[in-house]
Amino acid sequence: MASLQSQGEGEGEGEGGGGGGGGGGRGKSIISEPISGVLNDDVLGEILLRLPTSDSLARAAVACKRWRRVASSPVLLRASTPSESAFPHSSASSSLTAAICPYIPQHASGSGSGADDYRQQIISRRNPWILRASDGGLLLLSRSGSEMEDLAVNVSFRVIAAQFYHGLVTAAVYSSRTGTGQWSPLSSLEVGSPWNARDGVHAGRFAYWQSNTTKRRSSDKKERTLVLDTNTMEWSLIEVPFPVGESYCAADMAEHRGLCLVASTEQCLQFWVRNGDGDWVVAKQLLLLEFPFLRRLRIVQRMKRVRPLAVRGDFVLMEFWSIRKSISFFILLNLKFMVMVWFQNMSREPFRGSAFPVFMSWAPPFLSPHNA
Amino acid sequence: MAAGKPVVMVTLVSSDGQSFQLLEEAALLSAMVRDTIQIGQGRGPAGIPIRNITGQTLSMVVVYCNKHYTAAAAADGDDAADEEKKVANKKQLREWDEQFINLEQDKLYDILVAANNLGIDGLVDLCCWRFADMMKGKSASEIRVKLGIRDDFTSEQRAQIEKDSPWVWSRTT
Repeated sequence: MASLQSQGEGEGEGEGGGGGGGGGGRGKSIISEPISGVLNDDVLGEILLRLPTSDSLARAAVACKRWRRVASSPVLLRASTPSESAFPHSSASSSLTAAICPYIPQHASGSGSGADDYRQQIISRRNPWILRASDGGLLLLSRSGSEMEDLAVNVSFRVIAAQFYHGLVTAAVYSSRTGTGQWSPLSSLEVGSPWNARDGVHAGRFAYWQSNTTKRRSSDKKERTLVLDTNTMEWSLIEVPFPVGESYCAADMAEHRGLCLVASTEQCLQFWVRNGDGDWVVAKQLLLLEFPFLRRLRIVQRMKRVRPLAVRGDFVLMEFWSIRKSISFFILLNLKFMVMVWFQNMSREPFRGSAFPVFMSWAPPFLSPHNA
Repeated sequence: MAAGKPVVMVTLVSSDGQSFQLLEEAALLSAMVRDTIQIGQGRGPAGIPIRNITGQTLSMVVVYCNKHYTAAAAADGDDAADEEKKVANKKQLREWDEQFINLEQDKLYDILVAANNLGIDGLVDLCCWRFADMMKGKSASEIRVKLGIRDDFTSEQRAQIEKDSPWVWSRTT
């Protein structure tokens, strides 16, 4: 063993000593907040990350405001994973996917009266938002120089885990409200193959899984999306009304009475809804090149493709990208005022192209109207 | 210890002036020490001053670094073929870690802060596990008492928690 020389008044502490006298007053007083006070959010997050179950995380989250904020980070919520036992076919060939759905406060549906404030906030902020991390399909955004702000949170959330196996989906739901750590199974459903499920995405009261059907000349396979209404816990399997290979996301939009598919063709954003007969029709179209900024981006940066990522309230988040470029641009569009902000995605390979596991399971702080 | 290499020692000086001498390679477990040495400082007789960390805490950190350096060096020296021995050594080191970190909360907290400042990932990890272990299975109020956290929620927030998840006040069943 290498030498350890303790000069001066070293006490020669042994390993793992009980340290009875070390306490000194600190830690006894409830005001001094030992862990909370000095450890930074990152380290606190590391501790919480090591809690074994989501219900112990929820308990720690109500200790104080700061703990609640740190415990509410999507990475932590996502990390409290479902127990394998709820799923019969746990094997390498079938991966488990999950969507985290916060319980939606009643006033959050509707158009969101705070839109004005949001526009103000977005415009007045000088530092651009950057993509800080993407974990299991969650996107963490932060502004340079500051840590994430109070991110959405309620300790109340649900995790819906789904497993696609030989064309059958098996799912279970975990609710933080029951606190039992138990998963309740949902009815299973035949969805057909192939199903290249990535993680589930939360959109308002819906959670959805896209089939990500690959575009092949010889194949007539359709793109499908499996939607769970988390109010009624009913599945619906939707064959999307546009060709395989087009980017789209699902949205819960009050103005279109619920489920809406947002797709993009060229630089045109289309909002698809179901009419009275249950057929999908385009309810609204937006020519993105009418925005001078995007026109310029297209010419200068040669960006061509638009990937709608999420719709929350009056806001649409999308990515403007090109197959030839290593960078892309995130664009946040306010549908009500038709204004946009953008920030450049400087991330490296893992965050690019079809590998970009974006699905905004959580609205970034400035997107969520009930967060003000 | 690798043969042929000269033995280089470094000195770490705690905030209250105590000096600890250890092998440079052991000290390199700390990212902060690594950075300091990389820019050509810290090898002199004055050593590396470690701010905000007292001698009592630093002595523990040094014990950890020495143990982990020796274990790693021993593992390097062994024949790669002996899988069984490797597993046994790892297990032994884990047991040592567990015993090492079985500390009073105050000390644990000091060591976590120190490990974080010094950038010793393994020790940060170990402390975090230990803290998480303390919270496991406890109710929210027990966590507060155990870790001395002051409830700073507003009455509205408290009511919301009560409504959403009243079960947080009881232990895991």
